Amino acid sequence: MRFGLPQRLLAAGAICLAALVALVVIEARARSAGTEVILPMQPVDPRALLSGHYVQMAFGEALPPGENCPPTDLGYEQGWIALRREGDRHVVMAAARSRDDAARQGEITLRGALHCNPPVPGADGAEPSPGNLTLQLAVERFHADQEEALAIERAMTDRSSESARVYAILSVDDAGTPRTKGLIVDGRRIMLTW
Amino acid sequence: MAYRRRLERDLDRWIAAGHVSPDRRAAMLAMVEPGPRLDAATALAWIGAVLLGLAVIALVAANWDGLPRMVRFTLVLALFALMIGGAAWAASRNRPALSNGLATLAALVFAAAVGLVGQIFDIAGKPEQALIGSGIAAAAIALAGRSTGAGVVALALVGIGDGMSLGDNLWWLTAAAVPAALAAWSWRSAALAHAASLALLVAIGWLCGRADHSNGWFLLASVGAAGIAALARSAARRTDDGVFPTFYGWAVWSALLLLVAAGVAGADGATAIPHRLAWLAAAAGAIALGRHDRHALITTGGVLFLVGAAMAILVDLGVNLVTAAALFFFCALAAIGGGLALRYLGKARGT
Repeated sequence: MRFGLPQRLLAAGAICLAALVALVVIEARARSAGTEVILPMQPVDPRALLSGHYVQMAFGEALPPGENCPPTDLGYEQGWIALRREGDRHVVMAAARSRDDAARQGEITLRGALHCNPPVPGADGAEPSPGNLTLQLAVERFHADQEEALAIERAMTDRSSESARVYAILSVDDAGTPRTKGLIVDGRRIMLTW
Repeated sequence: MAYRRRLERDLDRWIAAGHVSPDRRAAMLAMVEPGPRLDAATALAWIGAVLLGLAVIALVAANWDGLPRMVRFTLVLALFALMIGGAAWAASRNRPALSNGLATLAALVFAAAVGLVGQIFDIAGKPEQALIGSGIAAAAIALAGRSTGAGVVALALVGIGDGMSLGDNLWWLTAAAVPAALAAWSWRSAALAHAASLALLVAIGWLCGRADHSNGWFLLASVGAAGIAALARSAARRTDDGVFPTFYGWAVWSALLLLVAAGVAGADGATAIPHRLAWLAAAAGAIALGRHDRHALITTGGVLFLVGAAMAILVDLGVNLVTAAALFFFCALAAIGGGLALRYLGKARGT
C-alpha cells in the first residue's frame, strides 16, 4: 500500500497532535501523583508584558536575627534540597550535592539550588538585620488571568500580616522534579484546573 | 508584464541588429502568455476570508483569559489540525504551492502551540528543548509533505534552540544541516538550499572551533568548501536548477569565512600578514568569479571580504601606513595583472 502526500501529511499531523496531548496527559498525571509541598514565595516582578500574565515564582523567605542558614555543601551549584513539613507548610532543612545526603536531613528531597545570606547580629548599638534564604527550582512561572495576577501581585507586596503571604503549592515526583500545582493567596487556594 | 516589457525592448534590439524580421514582432509578442490575474470576485473572497479570520482571532483573544484551560487547549489543537488538514487537502487537489504554504504555517502553529500548551498548563521546561522539539515536528511535516517551507522552519527552530545554549552545543543543528541540504537538492528548493547552507556553515565553524589546533581545521574546512564550490559551480553550469547556484554561492562564502577564521587566533601584527594576503587574494578571486559567473551573492561576498581584509591589514600594521600603502600597491598590481591576463585568455578563446 502506497501513501500519497495527503495521507503522509495527515499522519505527520496526527503524530504531532498525539505528542501534544501526551505531553499534557503525562504532565497532569505526574502532577497529581507527586508529593504536595508548600513553600513561601517572595515578591519579584509579578507580571511581564508580552509574555501573558504570570507570576514570577521566587521561593524563599527572610531569616530573622538569631536563626541560621540551613547547612549546605552546594555553593552556587544545582543539587538537592531537603524539606520537612512544619504545620501547613514546608521548611528547608539542608541542601546537598547527593540526594542521599539531603534525604538524611529531611523527609522530601527535590532538585534545586539554595542561596542564603545569614542574619547580621546587632553590634555597637546597631540594629540586627534579617538574613535571606532563596531557592532556585525548575518551576519559574505561574500563569494566571489578569484579575488573578493583579490579586497575587497585591498579596505579594502586602507584608502586613502572615495570612497575606503567598505560598506555592508544588508537586514533587519520585525523581525530585517539582511541578506547579497552584498558589495560596490570602489563604485562598488557586489551583491549576482543566 | 515586466517580462513582456523586457521582451519588447529585446525584440527592438534584435530587429535593429537584423536577427529578427520586423513583421514577426507582433506575432511573437502575441504568443507571450498572460500572467496569472486575480479577478475581482476572487480578490473579494480572499479579503473576506482574511477579515473573517481576523474577527475570529480578535474574538478569541478578547475572551482568552475567560476560557477554561481545556477549551484553550482544544482551540490550539484545532488550529494546527486546520492547517495540516488544509495542506493535505491542497496536496490532494495537486496544488503544491498552497500545500507547501499551509504545511509551513502548520509547522509554525505547532511551535506556537508547544509554547501555549506550556503556558496553559504551567508545564515547566527549558525553552531550547521546546524549540528543538518543535523543530523535529516541523522536519516531520516537511518530510511528509515535501514542504520546503516547513524544512526552513525546522532548521530555524533547531538553530534558535541550539543557539540558546550560547554556542555550547550545536549538535542538533549539525545533525540537521546535512539532511536539509540533501532535501534541498532532492526537492530542487533554492530557499531550503539557502537555509541548509547557512546551517552547514555554522555547524562546520562550530566543529572546527571546538577542535584542538582549530586554525588548521578552519583552513582544511575552507579548502573543502572551495572544493564543494567548484563541484556546485560545475553542476550549476550543467542544469537550470536554482539549487546549485545557491549552494555554489554559499560554498564560496563558507570558504572565505573559514579562511578568515583560520587566522583569527594565534597571529597578530606583521606575523598575520601572510594570512591577510591570502584573505585579500581569495576575496579578489571571489569578486572576479562572481562577475564572471554573474553571481551576485559571490560578488557581494568578495567585496565585503576585500574590505574586511584591507581593514585587518591596517589594524595589523598599526600606524605604519607607508608599509600598508606599499602592500596595497602590490596587491593592486597583482589584481590588475590578473584581470588583464583573464581578458587576454578570454579573447584568445573567443569568449
